[in-house]
Amino acid sequence: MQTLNQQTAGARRFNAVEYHRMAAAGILSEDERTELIDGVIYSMPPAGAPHSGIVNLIVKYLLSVLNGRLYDVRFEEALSIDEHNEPVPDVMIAAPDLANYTNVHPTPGDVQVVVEVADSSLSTDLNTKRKLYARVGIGEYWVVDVNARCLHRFTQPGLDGYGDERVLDAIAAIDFASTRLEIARFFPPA
Amino acid sequence: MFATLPSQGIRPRLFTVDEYYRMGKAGIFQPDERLELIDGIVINMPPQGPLHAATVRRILAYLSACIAPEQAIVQDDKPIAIDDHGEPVPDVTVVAPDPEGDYYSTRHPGPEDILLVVEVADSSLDKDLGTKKTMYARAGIREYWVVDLNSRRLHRFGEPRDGNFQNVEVLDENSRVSPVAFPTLNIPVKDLLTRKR
Repeated sequence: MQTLNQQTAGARRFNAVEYHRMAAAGILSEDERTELIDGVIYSMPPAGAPHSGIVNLIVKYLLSVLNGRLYDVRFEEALSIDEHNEPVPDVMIAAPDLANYTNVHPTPGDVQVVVEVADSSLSTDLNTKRKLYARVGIGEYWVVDVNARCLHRFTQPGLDGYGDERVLDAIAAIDFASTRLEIARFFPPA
Repeated sequence: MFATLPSQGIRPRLFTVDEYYRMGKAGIFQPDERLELIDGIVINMPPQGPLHAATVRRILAYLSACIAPEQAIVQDDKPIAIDDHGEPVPDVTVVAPDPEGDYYSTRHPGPEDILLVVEVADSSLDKDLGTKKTMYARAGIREYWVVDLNSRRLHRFGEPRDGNFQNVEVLDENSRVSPVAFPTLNIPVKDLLTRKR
């Protein structure tokens, strides 16, 4: 069995301009869900019910507690990082934009928190994406582990990764933006 | 071929040969890029050092000298049509004459036309013995040689069946080799290699 690294070894890396040109040329179809990570175009797996449901729970919860606090909660939307990276995080807590990001995608400077909901994607989320988000200075990265019902909270981003990682189970709470977030609210009742 | 990865997480978006050509038409590639499509992934071909280039030239010259043009075409650095997701550019390929008699002007040669594929490996040995071997076996390429420059050996693969080559041989430079399609040829392996230094 080939690993992801073997499969993409020697791959021709694409930049964001080429990536968008593929979409414009119809090579990537409009309803296709893809991400650009380190110059490789990835297909996002079809979202299963647990994944979609939990993304929805988190979005509703964050909107209810953060609404009016100058935060924009976005989901399944692209994050424009650099020449070779345009991932689509499950959820982002971003600074609001006057045009609601209709002109440009948010960039790392606009984003306080990236949330990835991991069922089958846990290893990608904890490795490739963790390194990427730390390197570009995403202040907080939360990985919601659907199977273990816990939250990995990464903070203190740096070029070498996040300086701090906490694994919080569903009875814990975190302080964020002068609000207390209960992790249990990220999950359906057990 | 899509079962080569575990079904977890994100996986690379695999491109078809058709999409690969559309990328070219859309101006996504620079004119001087050397690329091949392997299992749906666009691969950069590494720059060729003199030893690699000389070995390719030598094999091309040797095979061209003993195979008559009406028997087969011996070509270097030309794309071959493997499947929907594969258009590799082997170092040397021996193909049957174009059934339409026009040097394959309307399509690239496919597995049914190909008599022998040769890859010359220096840094690319892992890929040539890994991804590429699997791809050629799956496509039913009759015979595949990997000339290993470092160990001065020839890896020879034949009888593709069920996605694997059933016949595998590793020949050192004192051996001789006869291509399946040309049984009367008996080629000293050392004639495929540059001079020892």
